[in-house]
Amino acid sequence: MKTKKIALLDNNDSFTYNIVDYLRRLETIDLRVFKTNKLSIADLKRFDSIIISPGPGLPKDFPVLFSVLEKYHDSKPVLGICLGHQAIGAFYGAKCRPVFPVIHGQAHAVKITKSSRLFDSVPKTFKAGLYHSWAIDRDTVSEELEITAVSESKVIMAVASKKYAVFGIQFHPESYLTENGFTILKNFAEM
Amino acid sequence: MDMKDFISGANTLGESRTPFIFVIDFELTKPFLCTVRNALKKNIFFKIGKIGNYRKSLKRDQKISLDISPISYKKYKVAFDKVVQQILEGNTYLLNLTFPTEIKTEYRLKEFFHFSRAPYKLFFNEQFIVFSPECFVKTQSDYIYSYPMKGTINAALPDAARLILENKKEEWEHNTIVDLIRNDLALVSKDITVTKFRFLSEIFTSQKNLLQVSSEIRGMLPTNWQETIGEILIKLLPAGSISGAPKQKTLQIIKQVEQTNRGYFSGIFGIFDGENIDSAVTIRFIEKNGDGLQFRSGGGITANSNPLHEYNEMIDKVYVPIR
Repeated sequence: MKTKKIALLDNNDSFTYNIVDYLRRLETIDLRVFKTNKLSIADLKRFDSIIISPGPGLPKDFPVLFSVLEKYHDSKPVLGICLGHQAIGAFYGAKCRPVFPVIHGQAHAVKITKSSRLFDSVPKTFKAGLYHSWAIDRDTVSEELEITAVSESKVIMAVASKKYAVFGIQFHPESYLTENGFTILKNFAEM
Repeated sequence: MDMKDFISGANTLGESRTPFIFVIDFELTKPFLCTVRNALKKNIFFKIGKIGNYRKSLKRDQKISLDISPISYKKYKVAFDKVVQQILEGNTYLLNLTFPTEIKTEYRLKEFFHFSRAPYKLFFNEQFIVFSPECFVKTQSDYIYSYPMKGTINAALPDAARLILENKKEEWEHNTIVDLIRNDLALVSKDITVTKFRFLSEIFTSQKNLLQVSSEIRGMLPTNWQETIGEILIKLLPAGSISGAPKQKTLQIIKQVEQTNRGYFSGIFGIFDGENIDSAVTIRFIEKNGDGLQFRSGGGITANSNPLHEYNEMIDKVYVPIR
């Protein structure tokens, strides 16, 4: 029986269906994909939780993400991946900074610095696939967020709202390169 | 034939399990479809995996020398720099940049077709020929497989296999394409698995032997997928290995920097044998251009690419594989 309805917001990305392929292995999840350029906020009302996909560019290129977060951050679990993570950062007032050299298609060690429901059954340090040329600037992270994981070079790899079930991860749980990626998505899906 | 006709035509043939040949261009504007039985009548010769419709190729032992005129490095560098700027801005992680190279030769298209050795060959009605080493997708008992190929090295270099497998830049680029192809297969199938990761194969050319790095990715198709074969093919296009990621944004950038349409080059061609698909990416491609011939080639650009190296790789790929 399907018990959880999840909306996956696709920012024209080419990794979105890797997320879909993982989540449809969970029999209790009813997943639907929405293209963010055709999304109306009301579509999301009947869903239990929301995942914001990776994507090209910067959060400001996808203004609808801010309306989604404004409307649902305090009532539905939200998981943002890569661009989605940066959108969550920006929603809570943080800024993005360029990463140089850019990191595309590389597996780096990610270290969990603060326990989080998202990382249940995940070891403290694990390898994760990265595709990013921007990152959340540590100096701009507001009081409402906490940093829950960092990379070897101290780049922010995960944030969480202190008050609500809102999670951002910079690495790609859906990547072939990521250990425990399926567990992380499952943890979120079952929240 | 437009895409709509292609899809319904392919679905009908798939449903009746009738063998057919398909050729689709990069821009998805001029798809071609004909039954295997009618291919010769349309002046189409092919060898796709084990299936072909012509007699054995001509033997040829001497090298085939081509007189080639690639675009200037200066021109290439302008396009390359634009791509790198887009990578830094986060709009693309990997973009396959290609250009035509004019070639002068005493041979005709048909002769090149017969001389060349490759797992996938096509002669398309005096318009173009392909001798492709790269499988796009194939199916077997309700599984679909893709074999993205990224990473090439001269096999004669000392320790070539180790050099290419331990090269970080090549590995990162390969990782990107594996994640992209996993995504694409998940559009049409489920339970996606990387069944082989970064394996080597050798290619024989008239100049030198090359080692290529590939992976094998598998997904499970619904039963009776043959009835929706048209949709399955279109959802997978353009092929990830010759476009880039994220695909949609990368395609816009390709259009801006390459400026001309690619046409059938870097599209796909293949066969439905009545039960299964086997198909190739349309690379290693020579087409008629007015009175002359042009060869099209290119390579993947990432944040770590060196422009001169990429330019030389594009020219290195202008070859005819003979035994």
